[in-house]
Amino acid sequence: MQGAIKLRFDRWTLRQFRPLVAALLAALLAAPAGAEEGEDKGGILSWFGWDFHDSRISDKEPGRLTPDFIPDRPARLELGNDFVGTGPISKGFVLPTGATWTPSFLLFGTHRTAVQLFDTGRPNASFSEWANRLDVFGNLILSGTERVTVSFRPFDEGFTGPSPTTGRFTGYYFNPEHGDFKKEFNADLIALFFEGDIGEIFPHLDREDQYPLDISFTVGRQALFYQEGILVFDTMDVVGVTKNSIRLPGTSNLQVSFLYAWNEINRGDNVEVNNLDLFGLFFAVDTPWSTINLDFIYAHDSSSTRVPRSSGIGERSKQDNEDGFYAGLSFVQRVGHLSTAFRAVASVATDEDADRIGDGAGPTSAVDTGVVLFGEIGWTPPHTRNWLYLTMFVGINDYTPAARTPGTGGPMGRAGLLFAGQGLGRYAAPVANFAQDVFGGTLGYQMILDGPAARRQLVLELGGRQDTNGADTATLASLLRFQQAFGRHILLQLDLFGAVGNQRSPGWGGRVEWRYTF
Amino acid sequence: MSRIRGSLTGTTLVWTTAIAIALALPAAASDEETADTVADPDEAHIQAYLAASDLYPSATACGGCHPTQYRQWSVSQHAYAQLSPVFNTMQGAIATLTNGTLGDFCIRCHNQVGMNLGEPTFTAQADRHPTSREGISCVVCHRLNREYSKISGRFFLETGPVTSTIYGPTGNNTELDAAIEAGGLVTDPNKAGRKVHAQTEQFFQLTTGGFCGGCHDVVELNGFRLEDAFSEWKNSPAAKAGISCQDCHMGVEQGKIAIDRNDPEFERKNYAFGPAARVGGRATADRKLTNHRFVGPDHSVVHPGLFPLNIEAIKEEFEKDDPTAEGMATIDEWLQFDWKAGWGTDDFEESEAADGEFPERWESPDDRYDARVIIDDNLTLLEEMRGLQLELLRNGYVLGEIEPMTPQEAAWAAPGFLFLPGIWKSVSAMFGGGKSDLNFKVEVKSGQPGHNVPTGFDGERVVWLHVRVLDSAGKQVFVSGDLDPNGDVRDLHSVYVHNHELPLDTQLFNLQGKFVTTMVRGPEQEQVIAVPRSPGAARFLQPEFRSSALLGRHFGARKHRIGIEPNGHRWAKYRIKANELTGNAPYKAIIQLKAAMIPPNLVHEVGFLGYDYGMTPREVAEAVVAGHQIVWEREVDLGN
Repeated sequence: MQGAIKLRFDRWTLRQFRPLVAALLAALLAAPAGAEEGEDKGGILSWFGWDFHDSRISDKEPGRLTPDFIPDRPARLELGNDFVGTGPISKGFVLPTGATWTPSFLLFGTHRTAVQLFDTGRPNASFSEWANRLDVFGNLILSGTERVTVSFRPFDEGFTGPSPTTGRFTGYYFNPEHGDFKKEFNADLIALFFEGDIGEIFPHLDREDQYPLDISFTVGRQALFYQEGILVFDTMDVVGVTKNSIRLPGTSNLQVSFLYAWNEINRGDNVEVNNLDLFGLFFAVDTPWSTINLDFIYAHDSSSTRVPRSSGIGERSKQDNEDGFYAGLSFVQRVGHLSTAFRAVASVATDEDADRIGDGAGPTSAVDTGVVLFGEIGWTPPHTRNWLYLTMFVGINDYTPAARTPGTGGPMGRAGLLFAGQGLGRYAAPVANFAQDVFGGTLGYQMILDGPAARRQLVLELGGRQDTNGADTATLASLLRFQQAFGRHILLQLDLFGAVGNQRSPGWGGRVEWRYTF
Repeated sequence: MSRIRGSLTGTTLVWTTAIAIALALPAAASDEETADTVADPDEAHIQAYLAASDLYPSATACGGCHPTQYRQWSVSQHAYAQLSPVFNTMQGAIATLTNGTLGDFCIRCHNQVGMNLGEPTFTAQADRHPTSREGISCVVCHRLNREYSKISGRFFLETGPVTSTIYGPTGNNTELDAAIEAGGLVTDPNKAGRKVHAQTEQFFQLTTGGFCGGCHDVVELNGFRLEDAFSEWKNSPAAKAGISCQDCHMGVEQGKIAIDRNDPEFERKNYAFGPAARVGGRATADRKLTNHRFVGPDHSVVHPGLFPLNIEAIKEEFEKDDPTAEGMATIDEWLQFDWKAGWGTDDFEESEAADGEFPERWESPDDRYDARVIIDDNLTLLEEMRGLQLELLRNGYVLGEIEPMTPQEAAWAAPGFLFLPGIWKSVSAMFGGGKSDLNFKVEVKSGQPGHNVPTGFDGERVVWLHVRVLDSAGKQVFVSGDLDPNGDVRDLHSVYVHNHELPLDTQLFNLQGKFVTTMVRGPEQEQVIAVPRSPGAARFLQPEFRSSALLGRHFGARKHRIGIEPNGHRWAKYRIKANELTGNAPYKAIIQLKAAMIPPNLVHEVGFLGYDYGMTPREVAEAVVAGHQIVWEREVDLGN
């Protein structure tokens, strides 16, 4: 394959591209000046999301507004009151507490199917496959604040990516298994939780509504996501309470949450453990200049027993309890024309530091001591809705997330599409997303190609990482993603990446995904 | 009716369940239902019109006996809720951008009757049932008898003709029974005569903040928290003191209680007293009267023939040739009435009318004079309302102290102080830098204990300081809070600023909340409306699959709240560099606290769909800017 690419570049010299480049430049320069007012003034640039319409609000007279200006509400799989549908709302029934519930049920989800090829550049790590994933959610809405949500993933066992786990998705392996049909149908419960509001469930506790009993709570198995997944990205059995709308002088809102999780917790190495108790305290505050999140987690490991996955990969012996303390602090704000976010997330192994595993570009310990500093800057260029973004991170020592679901690798997926797996099949992150002794980042440009509808998008990324522990596993990669929506339910996504690095051959990958949302 | 397609196979419980649900749902899973075919569409329209009135009586039916409440409500934001062309287009635009999945979110609160009748979520107002156009009308509150609380408007309304039971704060039928006994009223829907509700029942929650929370705590079904007014109040000093939403917003003073809540005379002094109804020539006994104007930050931008709602103003298209119709002209005819040119005034009719050409409906001077009476009445109401709106805003916001600021304070107040220039300024200030600069700060206080200001739809409420510094000759040397040619402040949402045709107002003090949405990567992007452009190109609204209660927000979009907490305050800080002070001292600052119901950039952002009443986006934006209020103004000497 590499030979074929090289041959092509030998034949096409720079000179042969000159007329094409000249024509392209002429079109780019000429287009904005040549258009009339009210017409598309972007020329070829408009293909890349540029729009040179006047900044002055339009004087264009509309025609008579009719219902067919907008799409109908799509068909839904629902019982009871239509999900955001028109027509009368049912009366519901009154609970002994005085609350009124009007139950309705909605089945929703996403089916993803993809053909993908991936060559990591490492020995025996080249494959091609067809993979499927179906996320099905049942949402029993009881009232405006109470609901029960259940979810299944009947086409896969929830593992993705290379080591420490292998892909277990329904589909077909073309290579290297040569025609192996995979059937991973299952009825495993992914999530089942109830959430509600004490003040709303028991309205007669305070008939005048004058006390702050609007305390939200949740119980059950559910996905958690803190510090954009850097701190926690996992599904576990949880009971949690939240108080929102707390008045803190000088701020616009303070929200405080506490949670306790006791089961189905996957630690920083993506491996589930029994007898782990996880306590979390989370603060989110809106100040006039920034949104600040301050999160604390303590994980208490009361057993030395580890539960290996059925694949057996990822199991290892453990010599001591592995308690951990975790904290995250983030500031998200706009500064001038820039959007910015800064995060510092730390993990502390409170029993003893774990042995370092691997070279820093691979799996980590269950818990170890380290810090991640993470910064993001974004900018919308004039005359566009596009998004130019830069992310940077530094991993000091051996940061391990408090909880991380299997198959999602390390915590730095937020750093770029290049650092994130697809969550479908074995197509993993092109660039390792672990956070030990490393720095890295991504420069990306997301182009909204079709105006406000944003149904056609192109994303380009250039990113990489370099370790700081002497392992010399530097990687540089680039990525292209194209998305096009069809109708209301379907999204076509094309991905292509190439990566080069020390101690590895060039890697590449490509995929075509068809996504149906219902 | 669409059907669920696709074959589902497998043996697991999941599949069994899925198939069972899929088979059970074709009747439930539908695009908007279509009515049975009727031979005569006009006749069908009339029948539907009459049938709908029997389900949800118009406010005009209530107005006959309750003229005070009707007149107050007719100019209220509740009456304007559906008529607003900005709301209508915003609803349609967001529905378009979310591929129709927005459904009735937004409009369910704005137009309960229309949604219950199964009307389209987006269309011209002229094509809606008149009761639907009334927005949040009498029946929306007084046909509600269960405690649904924070449900974003998705509650059940009792149906029935005007003779059906109505729900109120007391359920006292004494005066009603007396009026019925006095004769002339009919409680049987099938009998001819002046109809009245046969009884009232008490619905206690109507008197509490929890009732308002049914619509004024808005959480989208995907977990996106759009509005938090009720939650803010529930956690406020006002709630703790027993001051309800109604006490501040339905009393004699707008946005404030008139007397201490614990005063024994509170009810008497905080609320108006008078007859609740007038039947024939008889007024019922005096009682506490709540103010139904529901004054807020919005104002009308539509033709004054259409709003305020006037019983004598609008007739339906099918009544066009009916001389007995109560209304004077159809919506389309009113839109042809050029009130700004003076039609129907003596000045116009005696001078210019002879040379003018008029639409068919307005060819008669008599009709123009009659129309003018309605217009003038409505303009009077609008002017009254504008005064009350200013009262509300003045009770909500207070311009506090104006003080000089040290160079150190100024440096830390610089935008982007976390970046190198800000850090450099701070370090420089420690060593005496910036001494010649002119630095001052302005205090803006919340004037009330009930909720943040702004609240509710604070993501689009612009409340800002317009600050001008003039030299001794009156020449302006500094400005912040000025408007771009569209009427926007120069923030990131200004199209001129975004396109780098005007500089960003880096010292702007603006309390508007900001919608930020998740892009494919990088930090959140600030947007005019909260529709994420990423991560998927097919934007399809689904419930949040994580716990919204625990995580507190939807992960595609959120609102960065910036408003001032109850009884709180903020300091707006201004730094004018020495080299900008080009005139002669002494300098003075003219400081205005201003409020706008929405920014024109919202008009621009959703305007691709077009506006109702034939208005161009530009006309809507200009009307919005014309409604700006100067809440407070002060002039201060800044010295040398």
